[in-house]
Amino acid sequence: MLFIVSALHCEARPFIEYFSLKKDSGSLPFDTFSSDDCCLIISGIGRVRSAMAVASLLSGKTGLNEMALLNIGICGSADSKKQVGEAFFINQVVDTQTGRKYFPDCIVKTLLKESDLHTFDAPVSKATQTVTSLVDMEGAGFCQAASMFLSTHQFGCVKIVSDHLSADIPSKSFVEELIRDNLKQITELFDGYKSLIKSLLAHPLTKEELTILAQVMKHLKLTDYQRSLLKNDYMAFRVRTGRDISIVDDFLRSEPPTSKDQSKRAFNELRSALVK
Amino acid sequence: MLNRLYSHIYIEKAARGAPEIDKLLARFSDATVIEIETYQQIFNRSRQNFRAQKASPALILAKKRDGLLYRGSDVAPDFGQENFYYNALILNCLYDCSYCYLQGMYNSANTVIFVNKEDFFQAVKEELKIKKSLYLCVSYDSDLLAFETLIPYSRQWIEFADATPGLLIELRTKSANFKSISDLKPSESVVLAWTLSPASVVERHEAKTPSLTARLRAARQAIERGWKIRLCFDPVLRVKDWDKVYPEFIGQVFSQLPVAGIRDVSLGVFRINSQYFKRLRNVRIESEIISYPFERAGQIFTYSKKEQEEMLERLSAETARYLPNEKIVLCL
Repeated sequence: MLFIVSALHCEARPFIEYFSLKKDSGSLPFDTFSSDDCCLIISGIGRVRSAMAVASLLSGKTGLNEMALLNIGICGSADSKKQVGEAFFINQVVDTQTGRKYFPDCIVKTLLKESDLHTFDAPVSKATQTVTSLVDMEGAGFCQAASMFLSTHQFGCVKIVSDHLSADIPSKSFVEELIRDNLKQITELFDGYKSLIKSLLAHPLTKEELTILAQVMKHLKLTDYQRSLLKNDYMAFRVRTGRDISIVDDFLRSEPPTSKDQSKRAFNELRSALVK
Repeated sequence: MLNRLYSHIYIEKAARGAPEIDKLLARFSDATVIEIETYQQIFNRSRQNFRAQKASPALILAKKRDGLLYRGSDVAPDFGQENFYYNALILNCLYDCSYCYLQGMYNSANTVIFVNKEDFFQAVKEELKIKKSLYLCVSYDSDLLAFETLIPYSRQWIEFADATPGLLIELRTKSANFKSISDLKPSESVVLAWTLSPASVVERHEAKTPSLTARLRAARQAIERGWKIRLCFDPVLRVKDWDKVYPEFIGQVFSQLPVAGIRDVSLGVFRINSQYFKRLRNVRIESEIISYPFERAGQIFTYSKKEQEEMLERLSAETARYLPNEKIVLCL
């Protein structure tokens, strides 16, 4: 599943159209748009909003290891060599408020150029700028929140230069055009992330096996700790022997335990059967 | 599509200027270089995925500030040597063995090369002033010889050991890259050690390593150059038909290497620190080696006592057909 975080509607529109996303009803306080395998959220401007948007997307979600999360938006550039319209994959995000740095993994191959990014709390002008790189107002907040939910290979930022620290606010249509001009390379990057994450999901257990395991755990009234041990033991058994789940399934047909002692005994019997 | 090996190089500011760095940057001239304050900023981040990074590792060039010399671990053999130490000049490895404890030891699969070798040398000299003799394993948490074409640490440590009285180093490897140090004269202060496994184990469980044939060829070249080498049949894995696979393998080894060139053989079954094992099991969920129902003995996960004895007895007896018992070191 791909998640996209953009600050502005005009940054998001090209992706909403490209992925045919539909607006979710009741998605306050942030507008979200989704399809079966993609979800986009519009955070608004600023690192706190960006962090909140990530949290609202990912809090309470299961299957976090199946997700890729990208922050896409415009930025200013203090470097005149970085041209307006050029898109950059961000390899380092500096929170200028705290000095903290974030380093998303650079594993997925991209044709995009790379840069570092400095996140400020207020718009940066030529007169006040203290850095020589890209500047934005969201990147650090996005990374801080993303790194609380996801592994370092699952999230990243792409920033497109909209100006060289000009005081003028770029028009919506211009921003849309900047995104559209880089859409191909950005969506190829999405594909790279999805492919990497899929390659890591080779799971030895089927849904059916997981269902039966869950039923047995409930039937035997196992504690969370026992459930965790049993799952590990079953996975090891499955990999080692290639045998099916009937050995576990048998325990569903036993009488349910009526005391902690009985539950523990049944748990130990099952574990012993798995390591024989 | 993933980035190639070392497409991204992180360099500590303090490490800039080390001569090794310029050579490495020249070798990876199209890599993206990112300056960092300390290597831990990258290497010790939380929520890293070892398998994802192993598919496209980054290179981190740094200075090691402390921990230049560690006391030898209880799980590692000291070969009867006093003052057993090891150091970590490089963290992680170019190879990808499914059973490797590094996957449970580190958060990251990225490679760290410490470029302040002089500080490591100095730490050894200081320790030697106190201890007078030192047995130092320099290739434990990595495989230095595999990195030799990138950074010539094997050569430098052999030369250092040769010129440092009281120091004996062990350089353990799965590499076939002996040619990169073949011009050095054999040294009494250096034990070149090859870790060998049956060809079927290499193919199934030691990804990206040289074949058994290539390792044996390298070991034979070392012997022909006058080195007395160590062979490490360690870890021995309880694979299907292990009691046929390993004896055949031992026969193959001794049919290709002259016994006179072998200093000793170490023999040990798979064993791993319990903390590392818990993480390793999560990282290599698909590995039939790691999914074995090991038993816990104190802080170590390993085969049951009975299985250990069975494996070690069988294989030491097999090794003893070629080598006197006093040259066979059992790692328990």
